[in-house]
Amino acid sequence: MPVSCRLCGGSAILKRPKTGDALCKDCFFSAFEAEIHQTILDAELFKKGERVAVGASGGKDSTVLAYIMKLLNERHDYGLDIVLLSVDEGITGYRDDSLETVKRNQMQYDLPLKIVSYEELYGWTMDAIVKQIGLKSNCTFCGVFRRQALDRGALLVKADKIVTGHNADDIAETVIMNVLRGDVARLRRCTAITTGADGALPRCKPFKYTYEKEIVMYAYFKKLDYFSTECIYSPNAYRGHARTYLKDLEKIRPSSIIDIIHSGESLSIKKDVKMPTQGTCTRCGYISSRPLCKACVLLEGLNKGLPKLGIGKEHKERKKLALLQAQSFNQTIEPATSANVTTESSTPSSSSIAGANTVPQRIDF
Amino acid sequence: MCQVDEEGISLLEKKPSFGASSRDCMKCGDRAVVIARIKDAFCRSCFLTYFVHRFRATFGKAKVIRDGDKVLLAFSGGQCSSAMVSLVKRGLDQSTHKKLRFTPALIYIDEGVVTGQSKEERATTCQKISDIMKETGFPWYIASLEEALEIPAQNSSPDTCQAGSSFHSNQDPNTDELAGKLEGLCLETEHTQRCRDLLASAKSLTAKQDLVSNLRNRLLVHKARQLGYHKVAVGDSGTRLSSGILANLAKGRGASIPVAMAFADDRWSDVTILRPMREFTTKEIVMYNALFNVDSLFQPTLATMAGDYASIDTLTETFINELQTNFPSTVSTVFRTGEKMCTAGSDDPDAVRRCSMCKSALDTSVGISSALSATRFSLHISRKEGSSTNENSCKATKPDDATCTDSSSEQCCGQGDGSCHSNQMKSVSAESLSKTLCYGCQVTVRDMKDLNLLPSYIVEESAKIERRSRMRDEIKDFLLCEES
Ligand SMILES: [Zn+2]
Ligand SMILES: [Zn+2]
Ligand SMILES: [Zn+2]
Ligand SMILES: [Zn+2]
Ligand SMILES: [Zn+2]
Repeated sequence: MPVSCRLCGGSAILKRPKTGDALCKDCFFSAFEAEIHQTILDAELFKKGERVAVGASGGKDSTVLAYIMKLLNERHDYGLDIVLLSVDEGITGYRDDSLETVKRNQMQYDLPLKIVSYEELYGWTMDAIVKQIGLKSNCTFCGVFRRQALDRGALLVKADKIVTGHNADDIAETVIMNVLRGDVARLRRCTAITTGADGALPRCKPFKYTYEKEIVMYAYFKKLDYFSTECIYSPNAYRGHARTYLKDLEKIRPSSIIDIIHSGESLSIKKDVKMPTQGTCTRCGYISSRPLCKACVLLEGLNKGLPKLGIGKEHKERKKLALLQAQSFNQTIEPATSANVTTESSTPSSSSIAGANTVPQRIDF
Repeated sequence: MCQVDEEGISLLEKKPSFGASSRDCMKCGDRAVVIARIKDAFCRSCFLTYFVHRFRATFGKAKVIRDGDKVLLAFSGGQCSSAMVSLVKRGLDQSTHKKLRFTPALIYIDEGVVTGQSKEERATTCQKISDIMKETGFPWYIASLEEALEIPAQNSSPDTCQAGSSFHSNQDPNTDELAGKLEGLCLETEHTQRCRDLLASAKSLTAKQDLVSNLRNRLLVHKARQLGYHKVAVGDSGTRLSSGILANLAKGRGASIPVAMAFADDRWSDVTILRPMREFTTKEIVMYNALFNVDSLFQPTLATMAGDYASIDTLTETFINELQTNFPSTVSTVFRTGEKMCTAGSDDPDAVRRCSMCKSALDTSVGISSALSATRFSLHISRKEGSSTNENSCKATKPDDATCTDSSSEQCCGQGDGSCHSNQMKSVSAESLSKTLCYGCQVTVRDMKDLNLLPSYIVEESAKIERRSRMRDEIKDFLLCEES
């Protein structure tokens, strides 16, 4: 006997992973869309007239996000100026397919698209970085650079806000990760629907309460075209454990994903726990707990021919850098004992470093 | 009990997993036999000093025990609580300045009903346990888990309760004939069947385990009250608590993590739960027991019978243990993370509204932009029920129960002064229950086929809270100031 749709009585085509209800295609679409709209309203994510950059990677989350932002913006008259923003890391062959997908999406959705390249943002392509440092720790680079690329790109297109496709599964996974590695500062922040309000551009996550499986379902039944982007380098082993754990939890109790987010929302950190003071990078203005953000440290290493700077055992590299600078600026520098050696000593040279501060502040497209 | 045991040592040295190959004790330079924490090598006697010291320090740091306090030790027969009892005994025997200064007693709660043991099997276990308890020389008590179903809702003042009849103690020197006494323990009562029905009504093992631990905790606190104890010590190790942190997170019980792992758990106003074993890993405890001949009794539980992927608790335990093997700092990192947490908005502990099931702070008054309201909206939008969510929650929990209607909570006699006792046969609605349950307990209850089987301490209490709030609504226009 065919299962009937819980809402309209027609023939159901799927069982919602989130609620377990059998629904027909149209009822699922309208429930899915209504939920995202509700999330946007409840969290007051946008104001009329804002320019919003949608991080578009060609992957499923961002493809559905771009589609639904456009749809809801028109349906509910948000009055937003939506821009697709893609990052080209400059890895030969790797981005070709996904960028093609993004370009197709742009045409289908009729949204302006801006592709920013690592070359444009940092002065280095990923290929060039890999050539410098080998395959071993390039994930540090692609992670750190990718995180900032969107912010830097959004500044280029004069966006007021960035929306990302982070879904409920991603957020639940991050909560678990942060508990496992004891990162209380991130644990506190990671369930916020909007982050980075001070300094950098605000980022928001309209899919915060949306299950990954439902995003795939939506894309599948809407026949949205996406490209599976996984980092071509090995994923973080620890995150892999957290992901497996989350998938197992979901099998035992499907509501686990949202339950974890609830847990995260209802936790605070004791007042007497020391938190890293959240400042901004003295060089590029990106939020950073240290005077120099990670990307700027990595860039400096690259530009100075010390690419290991900022990765893993940075001590030795910092020493080398300090030494180098002491020689070149003829300054007396104490033996490298702490992180701020780099900062102090590098400030005078910062203007000569390509990359971060060469980001043009105005661009028309 | 604690003589030198050469055999135990040589046995340990053969096991490579103890890592005690040719290392020297970090304290005295003797041959090390155990590795504690992550890499501290100890000889047998320095390990004992370290262990006993750490145990006492855990008590000392918290400053919640006063001289002469009576502390009830929850004894399950397992490794952790056996080690705890042994450490208390050592602590009481210590020289004056290191001495523990409280008066202990033991309580064992028989959970045979959970694993479907027969009356006879349960009696045999109780016999074995009582033998172990007798040896300590402390007063001891035995209760059965199903007695939790007799606990009245928390309306009368707790100290007016009478001691239950099922208790045995060796305070009385003439209670040697245990077999006869255990008959009086009543391992098969009307509540035994009710308890079976309750557990059978839970659709998932996760919910079942949550129910069992809820019954156990309630009963411990209840028995402590009856017997005049204000402190109950439980044997949870740091490993267990760390896995509990993650499991609570996964069950939507993030708000209760701080109390669930605290040394002094103060969610009950008059009885404090203590966790003196929290600074030890399970591995350390097992080593202590092996080196110093501490007996324990392995008993099957729901978890050991079900396998690793059967519930959130078992999955999480497996997950944490596997991580711990590969990354030896996992347990301590998770533990320390938990220590830094507090419940959002918990400034005044007395003003907190508490869950009628688990007694942790209610975490359900969240804003509209929250996981809870997003979930409610999802249920609403894909079920399109009218104004009330009542109908849908009934469908979800017990599809063919015709008595489940909007008025189920209105069947009270109407006096509304909280004195109504005519609600015994009434059916419980998920919606009214939810108002007094925390998020995590709502999830648990959602996994129940029949809410009427829930213990009366939950049902009655939530009905009472419901009546109070309706009374308040009626008179709210005439109230001059906010009063909790
Ligand atoms: Zn339908
Ligand atoms: Zn990578
Ligand atoms: Zn920077
Ligand atoms: Zn020693
Ligand atoms: Zn609760």
